[in-house]
Amino acid sequence: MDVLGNLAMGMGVALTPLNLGLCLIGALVGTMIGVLPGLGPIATIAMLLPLTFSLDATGALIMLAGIYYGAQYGGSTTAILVNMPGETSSVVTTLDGHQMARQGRAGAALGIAALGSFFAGCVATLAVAILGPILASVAKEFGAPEYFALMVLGLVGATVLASGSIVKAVAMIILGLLLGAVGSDIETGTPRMTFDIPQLADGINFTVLAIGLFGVAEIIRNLENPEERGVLGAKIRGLLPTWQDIKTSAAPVLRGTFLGSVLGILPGNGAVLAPYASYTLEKKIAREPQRFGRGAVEGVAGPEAANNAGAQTSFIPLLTLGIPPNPVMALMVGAMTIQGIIPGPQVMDTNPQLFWGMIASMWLGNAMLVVINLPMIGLWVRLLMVPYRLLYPAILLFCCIGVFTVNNSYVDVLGVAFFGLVGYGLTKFGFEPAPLMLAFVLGPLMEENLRRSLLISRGDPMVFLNRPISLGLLLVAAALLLLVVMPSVKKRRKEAFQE
Amino acid sequence: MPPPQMKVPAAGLGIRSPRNFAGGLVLLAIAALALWQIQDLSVGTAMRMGPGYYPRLLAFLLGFFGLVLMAGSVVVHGDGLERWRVKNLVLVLGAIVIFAFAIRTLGLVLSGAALMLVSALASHDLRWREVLLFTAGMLVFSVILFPIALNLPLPIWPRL
Amino acid sequence: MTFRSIALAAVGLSVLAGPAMAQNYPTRPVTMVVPFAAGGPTDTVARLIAQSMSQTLGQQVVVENVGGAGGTLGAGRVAKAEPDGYTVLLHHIGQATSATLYRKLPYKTLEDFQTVGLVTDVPMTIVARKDFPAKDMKELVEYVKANKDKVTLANAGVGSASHLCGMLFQDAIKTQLTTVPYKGTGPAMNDLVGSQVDLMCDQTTNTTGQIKGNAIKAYAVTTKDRLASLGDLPTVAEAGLAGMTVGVWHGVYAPKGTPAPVVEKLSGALQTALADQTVIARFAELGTTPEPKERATPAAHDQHLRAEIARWKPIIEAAGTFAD
Repeated sequence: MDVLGNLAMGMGVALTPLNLGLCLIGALVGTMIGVLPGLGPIATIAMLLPLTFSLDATGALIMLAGIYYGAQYGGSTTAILVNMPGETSSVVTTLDGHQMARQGRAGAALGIAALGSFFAGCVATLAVAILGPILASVAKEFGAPEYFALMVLGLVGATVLASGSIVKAVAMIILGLLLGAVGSDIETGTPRMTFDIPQLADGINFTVLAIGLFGVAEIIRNLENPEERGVLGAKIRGLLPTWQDIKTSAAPVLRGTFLGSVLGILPGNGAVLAPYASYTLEKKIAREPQRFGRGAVEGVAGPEAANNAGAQTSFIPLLTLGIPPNPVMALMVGAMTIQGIIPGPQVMDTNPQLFWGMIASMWLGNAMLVVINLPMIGLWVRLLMVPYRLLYPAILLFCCIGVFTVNNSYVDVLGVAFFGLVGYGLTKFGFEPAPLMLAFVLGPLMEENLRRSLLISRGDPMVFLNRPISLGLLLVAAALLLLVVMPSVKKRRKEAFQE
Repeated sequence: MPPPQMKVPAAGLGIRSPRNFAGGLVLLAIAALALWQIQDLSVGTAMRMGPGYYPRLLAFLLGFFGLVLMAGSVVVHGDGLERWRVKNLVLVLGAIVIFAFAIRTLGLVLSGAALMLVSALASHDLRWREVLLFTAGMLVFSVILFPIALNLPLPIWPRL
Repeated sequence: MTFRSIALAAVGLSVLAGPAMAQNYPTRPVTMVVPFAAGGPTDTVARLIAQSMSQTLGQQVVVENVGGAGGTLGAGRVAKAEPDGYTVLLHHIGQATSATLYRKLPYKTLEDFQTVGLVTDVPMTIVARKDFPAKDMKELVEYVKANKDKVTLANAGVGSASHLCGMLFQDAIKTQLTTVPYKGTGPAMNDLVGSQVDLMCDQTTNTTGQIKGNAIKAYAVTTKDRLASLGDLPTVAEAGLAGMTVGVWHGVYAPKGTPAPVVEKLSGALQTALADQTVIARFAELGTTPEPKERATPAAHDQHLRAEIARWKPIIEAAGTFAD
């Protein structure tokens, strides 16, 4: 196992002018589509696939990978600036990142996000290089019961995302689970809660829900309060994070990197949990948890690091097992097959240049992203000086175009309007959308793995307790539940007695 | 979908948190809607779940938490109801709906212009000249960016 | 429901937009609808032939992914499109099976489409987890019959190629197994590699790498002849399951009523594409071969479609799974 030698060979592949250029193009395109709300990496990679026909496999994958992690970077920019999460991962970033922007600290939030991501990307790339093959074989042991337990743990953690009442947070989690259940039943294909709309047969599209619930609702709310419209309310204070910000963020970034790296390895799309897990952890161990949701820099640093670490390590199942953990990776499998490389466990041995070249290019890509993004912060922040009366119609335009192009479906655009209405209504009753979004993402995975576990175990519920990993995860979930519920119960009782 | 502007006789019923009371009602309504949609689905057993098992469980839970919220709103003091600004809501959402129906036939330029201009009406300090110029600029930008540079299958002009 | 009436009005508008002259077809880009997500095997096939067909037709053939509902959403879009040759569909075997699998299909498969030609036939493989006890197909069938309550059969979801092949397998060995559905091939293959499930039957595009990497065991390939890429693997007929010869065939469709000269032009462009050396080479990398010229015709395609609908109807009905 000569990791250094292999990495050196990888660097040799990645540093050829062509591959370096492709990496840069990928990172740039990725950042751009990440910044544009609604337009995700899936649509873009799909559109660019034909272009890769003429490249060699390594070059093609380097470019596609660049788009993927570039989009993760860009996605946080939009989340921070206009409270619009384009990706599952950036929902968490809106919570404190956008609050920071409202306080005039958009530059600090963007800077911390970029630096945290860069650090996490470097560490995770090393993890991929050194531990990839070993970790992949451990992750294979994750069966349906383990995933179910992991999702349960994630849902319990979701309550921490809300800053208000626990009852309302739980209600939003259940609503999110219910929305996640819309679509065809996985076992029988029976449509559920589709209201006879054929476009709902595969469920509600994440982008449609997120853009409606967060972005559109936010715009309508901003228009109500002219005095605090958009981010203009506050004067912009500094373009870069302060030394204090960086010191506060160091530990959260380290923890986020670890969490993200571990979760990203799971082939069942564990990376989606990474930013949420990090946020939950930071809020739980913070000395003043009430600062979270009001512009706490740790709430940006940890999740951003976790997100990027997860994005990097989610290449492990793809590169070492040939199994795509998420739709973007599935597209990369398509790109590989087009190039005549059949993804599978043998890729590492038959195509070492591809494997190590990609790993080296990930590191280079992350470095490029920092170099691209740090100077851009000034530009982004200046974008916020565009009067809101002009900014919001433009945001709406980009959202609608982006959402339309995902499936070329006007029904998806109508869905944005519908969920904009729902999101507006929910905030009017004091409900927060973030726990709903997480539950929406985790719900289908949870139901699927619950039913699959019972199918494989022939209906024996002990399957969750007989397997050590699943038992451990469920115990952690139970402990976290107690931690979350206890203070709120105490508080409630106090309040009730005061009456 | 939350019903518009609910008038809860707050003082009369001894409701101390009208916002939570109304929120609870909304949750109950959503739960009922979900139950109505899945009434025909087989539930199965916990060990061999049918398609209806999981959504039904969720709908009941949602209704339960709606009731908890409503019960709490009688005990604990809380926020009042917020006003709904129907004009902004209609303009912004209407602009999106227009875009949705127009994009495939009228193309990006016309439907994009409609989207931006209609939604701009919701702004309280509308300046026509500025809005028109800005809209034109953004449309040129998006035409270059989406159908041309990113090669997305979007019609630019009306299909004749 | 007002949405729907406005939508109908919008569709009506586009119908009024005027039929193009069939003689100088095509005068503008042709949209090829792929009813699945971009990047999948079907999308890859479409993009490969679209590139070549663009050159022949002298107009861009643009691939548009309209995924959802097992391919029926995209197919429905084309069924209702203007029959002028500017909207075509590339669909696989699902076009034949959805006719039975979906009881409330919003279109009539045989009446609403004009066949243009067959494209390719991707082979399938019967595979198992690495540590599965059976050594060969004969042992597999014996083992499965003896342990039918224990053996699990994975598939990538209702209507997927692996679901169809799994049904065919159960039908061929006259044994019902516990089927474990997944959302897509990736997760299903993951659990097979991780030995969480026992068996699967899937396209070579998904299985070849894992077979060659010794991550899973293969028992047979569903083609008439052995594959060049997996030469050691017997065919289903050699292994004693002749009824299991099946492939994920792909075809191009236009809406019914498309003028005959237009269909001919499309069919000709398809035949040229299938003879294109780059297309042949790329197909070979995918583990498949283009259909010969005489199969890439409207008539051959129509005959195949009818035969396949008839073949799958009793199998799907016997399995009792429907997608609605």
